[in-house]
Amino acid sequence: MTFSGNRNTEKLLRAWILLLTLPLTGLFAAAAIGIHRAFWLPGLLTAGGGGWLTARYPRRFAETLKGAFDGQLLQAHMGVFVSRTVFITRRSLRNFELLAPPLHRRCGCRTLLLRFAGGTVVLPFLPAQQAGELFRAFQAEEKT
Amino acid sequence: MKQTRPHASFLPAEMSRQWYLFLLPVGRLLLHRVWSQIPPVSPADVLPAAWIVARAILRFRHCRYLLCPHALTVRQGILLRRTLYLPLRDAATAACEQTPLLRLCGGMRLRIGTAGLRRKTDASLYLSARQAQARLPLRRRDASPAYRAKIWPVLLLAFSGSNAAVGLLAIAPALHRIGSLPGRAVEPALTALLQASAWPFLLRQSGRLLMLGWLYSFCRSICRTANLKAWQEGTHLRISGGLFTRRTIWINAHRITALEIRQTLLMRLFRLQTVVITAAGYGRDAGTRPVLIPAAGRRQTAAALDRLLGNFPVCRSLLRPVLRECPRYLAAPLCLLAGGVPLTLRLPGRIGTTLCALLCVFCLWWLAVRFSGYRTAGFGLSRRAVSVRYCRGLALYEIHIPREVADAVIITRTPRQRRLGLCGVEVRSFGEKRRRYRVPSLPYDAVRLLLSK
Repeated sequence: MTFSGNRNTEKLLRAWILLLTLPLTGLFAAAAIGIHRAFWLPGLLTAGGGGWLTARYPRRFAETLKGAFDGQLLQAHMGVFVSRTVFITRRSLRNFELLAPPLHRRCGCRTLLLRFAGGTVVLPFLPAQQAGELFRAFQAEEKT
Repeated sequence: MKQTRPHASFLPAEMSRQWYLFLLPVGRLLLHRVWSQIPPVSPADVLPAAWIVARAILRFRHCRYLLCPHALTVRQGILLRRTLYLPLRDAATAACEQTPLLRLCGGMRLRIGTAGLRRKTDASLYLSARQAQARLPLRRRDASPAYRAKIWPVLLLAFSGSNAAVGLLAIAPALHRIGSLPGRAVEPALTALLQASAWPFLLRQSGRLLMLGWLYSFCRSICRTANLKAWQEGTHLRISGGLFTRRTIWINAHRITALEIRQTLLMRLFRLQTVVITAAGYGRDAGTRPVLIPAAGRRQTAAALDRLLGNFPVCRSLLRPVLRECPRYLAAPLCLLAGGVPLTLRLPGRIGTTLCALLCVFCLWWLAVRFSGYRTAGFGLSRRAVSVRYCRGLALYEIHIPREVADAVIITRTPRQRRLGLCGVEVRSFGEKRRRYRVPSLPYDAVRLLLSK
């Protein structure tokens, strides 16, 4: 089976970026009004950066997030600035976890945590249906 | 079967963990001779020692072992009572230790570890030397060891591997405690001293401290690795050694997940190598490190590894970093040299020139390590093993991991690497210290081709 990012991934990522940048911009604006006007500069930078990230980053991330699982080997590719390709064999997985926080559920996404003896690999912001299928595929392999 | 109490050596061993607290009254008396403002006796110094003794007695009273042929049960704890059940078939390692104090009391500490995810050894038992010898084959005279440490390589290893900072960290609690002894009484005297001649005093003292740390680290390294021998006993490796604290460790060879060959620059010049294994259930406690061969020449290492781990899979053909990435390996020491020299030369007097000379020596040493690292780095994959060679800090590493325990391979590409067709490869496998093995600047297409096979 294969998986890849879609509109839901973009939506969730956009929501996260806004959630992080809007309060920070507000904080800098408040500091600029209340403490010193020099705080306008980081405020404007945060707002501009947040805007640019919201417009560009989610789509690029969704395009790069893709992978496949053939029953033995999971291969996943992700990352915009620094790209990562992960190869994990099913046999090496000790446990796996499907995360569905409220914002993820709202946007129809899930995050999959794959734990093996040497650490953890996170497959973030997968579309809910694909994440569920991947999770069930891991479970099916476990049973066999 | 009947439950047994730990051997009486449990008490001194438990108390000796914070041995420096017993020196507080002595330290105060000594300081009283120098600074008469300090009172010679204080109840505050006796209280910690009394607490340690009381706690050790209480823990001794509440501790019980039940050692059956198939399992071990340990009950312990004063407030939080724990009962640990450990099936012996799951035991990955067993280590028998005898510190000078335990030897004096006729006891031994047996540590049993499993491949769990705990941060410490699963069970520590205190047995009498006779009981331990009855249960474990401690004395073995029938076979010659596959490896026996020689004194000169071990001295060289201790010389090159000892680190002043590590030594200082190890003795920091004791120094801190002794340092807090004088309290407010000597504060004015110290302040006056610092104001009178702050710089020379501070430099002299920090120099002495660093020397002390290095000496401590050097002695500790020798004490651990001197007289080390290794045998193969069926499916187990048996490693025994130590100068004052004698350790005998049994490690299930099937649970070895990585073989690490390490070289510092000085050891490389003398063609010596250190071999360390990663084994499930061993190496979690402070001071325990599964060193198989502390320092030996290539031939001796190869001969010993053939006898000890003859079937351990190794990959010989490696993908090398591309030639044009050599400057990237050398960039960090060169940048430090270029930035640090003008800065240190601005400092006044001899301090600046001394620091500059030290910085130059360090940078040149680091440069040589990085260049050797570039020449040896590589990543290889065969049917049975994954092998990685890289440099980290001031040492060169060669890692061999059986393919079935290599959990994940991660290829990382920065925008620059994407442009140049390069990538970094990281191999992850089980290890008690959670180490990552990473090789930068490999040709991307060749790596993909290797992984697709």
